[in-house]
Amino acid sequence: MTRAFLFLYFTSMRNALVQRLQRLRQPKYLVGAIVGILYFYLVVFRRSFRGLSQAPAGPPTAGALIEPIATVILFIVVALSWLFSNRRAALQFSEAEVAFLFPAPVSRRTLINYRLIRSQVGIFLSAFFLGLVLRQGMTHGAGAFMRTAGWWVILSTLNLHFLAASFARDRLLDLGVNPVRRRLIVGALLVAFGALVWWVLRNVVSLPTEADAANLTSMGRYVSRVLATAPISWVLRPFDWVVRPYFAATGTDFLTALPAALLLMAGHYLWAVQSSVSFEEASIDAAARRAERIAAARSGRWTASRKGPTKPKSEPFRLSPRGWPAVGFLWKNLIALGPLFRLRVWVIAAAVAVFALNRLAADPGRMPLVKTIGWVDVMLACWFFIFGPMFMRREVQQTLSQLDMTKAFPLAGWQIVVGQLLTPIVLMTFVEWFFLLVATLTIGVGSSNPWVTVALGTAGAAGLVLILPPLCGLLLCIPYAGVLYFPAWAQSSGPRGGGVEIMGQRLIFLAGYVVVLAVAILPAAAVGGLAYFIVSQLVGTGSAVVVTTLCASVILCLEVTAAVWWLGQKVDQFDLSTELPR
Amino acid sequence: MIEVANLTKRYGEFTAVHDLSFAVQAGEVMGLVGPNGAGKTTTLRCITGIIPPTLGTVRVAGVDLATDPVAAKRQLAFFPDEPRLFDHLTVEQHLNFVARVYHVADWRDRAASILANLELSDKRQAMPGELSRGMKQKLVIACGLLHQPSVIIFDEPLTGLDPGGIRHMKETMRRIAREGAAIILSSHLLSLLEEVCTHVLILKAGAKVADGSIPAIRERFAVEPDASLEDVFFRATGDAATNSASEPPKP
Repeated sequence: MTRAFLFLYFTSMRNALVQRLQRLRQPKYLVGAIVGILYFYLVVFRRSFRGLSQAPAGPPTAGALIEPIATVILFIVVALSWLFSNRRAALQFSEAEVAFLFPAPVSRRTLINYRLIRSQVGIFLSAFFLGLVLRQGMTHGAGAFMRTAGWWVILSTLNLHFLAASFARDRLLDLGVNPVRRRLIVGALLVAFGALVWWVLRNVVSLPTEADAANLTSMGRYVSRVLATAPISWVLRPFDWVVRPYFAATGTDFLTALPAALLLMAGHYLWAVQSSVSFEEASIDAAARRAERIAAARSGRWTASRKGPTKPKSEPFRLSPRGWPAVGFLWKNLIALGPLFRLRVWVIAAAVAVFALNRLAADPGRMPLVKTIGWVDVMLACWFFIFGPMFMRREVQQTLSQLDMTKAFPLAGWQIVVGQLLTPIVLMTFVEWFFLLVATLTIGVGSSNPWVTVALGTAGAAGLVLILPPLCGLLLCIPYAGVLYFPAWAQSSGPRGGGVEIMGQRLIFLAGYVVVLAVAILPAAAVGGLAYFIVSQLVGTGSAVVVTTLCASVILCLEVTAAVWWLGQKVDQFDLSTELPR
Repeated sequence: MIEVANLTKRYGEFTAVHDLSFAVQAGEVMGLVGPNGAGKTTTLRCITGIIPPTLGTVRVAGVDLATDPVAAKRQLAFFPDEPRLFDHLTVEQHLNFVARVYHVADWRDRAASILANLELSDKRQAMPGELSRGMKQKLVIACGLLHQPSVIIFDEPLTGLDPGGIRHMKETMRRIAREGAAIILSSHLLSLLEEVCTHVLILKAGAKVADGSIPAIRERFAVEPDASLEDVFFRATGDAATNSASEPPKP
């Protein structure tokens, strides 16, 4: 049987690799692969491998400081999984594996072993990349091999623990302990442990002194000291065994730490294979769900679930049968997004922001905090400005999967474009407006600069309110055009098997997006700049700001109109049967 | 109602549909039949304006699909084999959305009548996830009929339906044909075509093999007068492997 499994495993892997290499004959994958490999080489490997030959970045004692914290994090992860996870005793099999292996004369243990061995590929790869990537900024002195092996121990043990825990939860369910009771029991145990720790340590451990809180190192030493005190140390000991190989500073430390970690891993393995819980039913269910998710994602339906929601959501507004069809699309999409995406929510959020920031700004002592909020808000606004359309990428990608439906509607191409873009434009505009409101309430407040006046700030904000909708529209037209003009690339960036070539494609798209964005904004910036120069000379700065933003807004509106018309032409001519694989 | 003239669709060197011409008048149900890869789906997609034909014209209720696609599509309803619904809209909200797209002002009254007809009245507030396959199919039909189309196209309408759903679907098709719509019905189920269609168009390798009433086609291709449509189909498409009779068709 083992030979059959090995055959299945290695043949599948070889065929997948051959398939991946063969698709490099298509330029879109080849170019993507080259860019992806270059990215990995320049950003990850070069630095990481250069780092191998260099001295460790941090002091050797740093690992000793981080190790207790890592132990606590691992404890929290495991505790949370017992508290909140509802994952049934399911091993991840594909539908084909379920169809062929479950009815086959194969023991339960063999199936578990097969699945565990398969999961090792992902764990090895994750450990390898984590070992490489986390080399940058590393603060302890472990070597590359030990780091990778350390990650492998942590990930493998967690994998085994989650599996065995899912078996144990199912067993508890069989014994009548439902998830609520289980959570109560686990929660009570954690609270009891916390109380015990407090009781025992209340006279032993003191609160951190000023010297302890002086810097991160002293704070780390204090935390390590507390965690090394019984009974905390007793509970954390198994977790420490798991993380210790990763934090080993020398080869000897590593070899000393390894046996306990491996013993714990072996214990988890025995726990998993000895559990007499049926995993087959849940695995079949999970395999079907997974296959459906993949199929849905391949066809562009990213949020597809087996049955879909069963509870109606509120309507954002009453949809009249007459009027712009694009509003119907907006109405439909806002229903899908749920009750958070309603006008009243934005109004409440704006009111809360105005109230809270005014209260803060009223106290001169809190002015640094207000300023900090303002600049963080501006940074977030800029970040969302660049990456917002990337968040909407999936919505835009649905364009292709829905085109055979929307093209049957009695709508012109430009109407379909507006219908499909309106929701992301509205969402992005509202988010940016909110950032603008916060910036207006924080940045200029209490400024001693005579140039920054309330009137100027208000004029600038009002102008930006006008600019943002067409600007967001323009930004979203770019990925939409990408989908229409490079549909094969848009398709391939779905979950058809990731890889370095898909990553390269995304990098190319990102670069293209930035270039097109810069070119598209140029006319508005030029006309706005010219208007500012003329009006500020003739009338004054305040009026110049208003005129500038108005001019820029008009130019952007014209650009969006032209872009929608152009994209509408493309939609009208778009031949699904030739652009997409039949 | 629908006139297709010299319709050709090419994918590079490959011709999926070649010089196809036919017409379906009000009240008629035309069955579109052919082996896999005959070009049925491509033909339907061209007729519905989803993909552009390479050559030829399609006129829907007198409107040329190429010159005024919006007006032509206003007269059309297309029911694909798989009911595709919006996961987050209720039955009633689907109809509301379609009403907006097709500008159906009195949609509430029409929807009430259609839903009652399709026995969906008690499912107005149901989500697609709560509906059976048959009910989903009915909802798609309700959406399609809301704007009272004059040309209706069904692609494998019985897929996944239970016996009750099948009977209901056949009755619906006959009823809307009686009410004056022109229907094109694409299906591999020859018995369905025999029951519902007034005439049949047989395609093979993208080209028309036969077009006419079922008795006329039977007359042309059948060896025996009581031959089934299945026998006629195999003779017409020249499928030697499954053709029980080896004699050539009558001229």
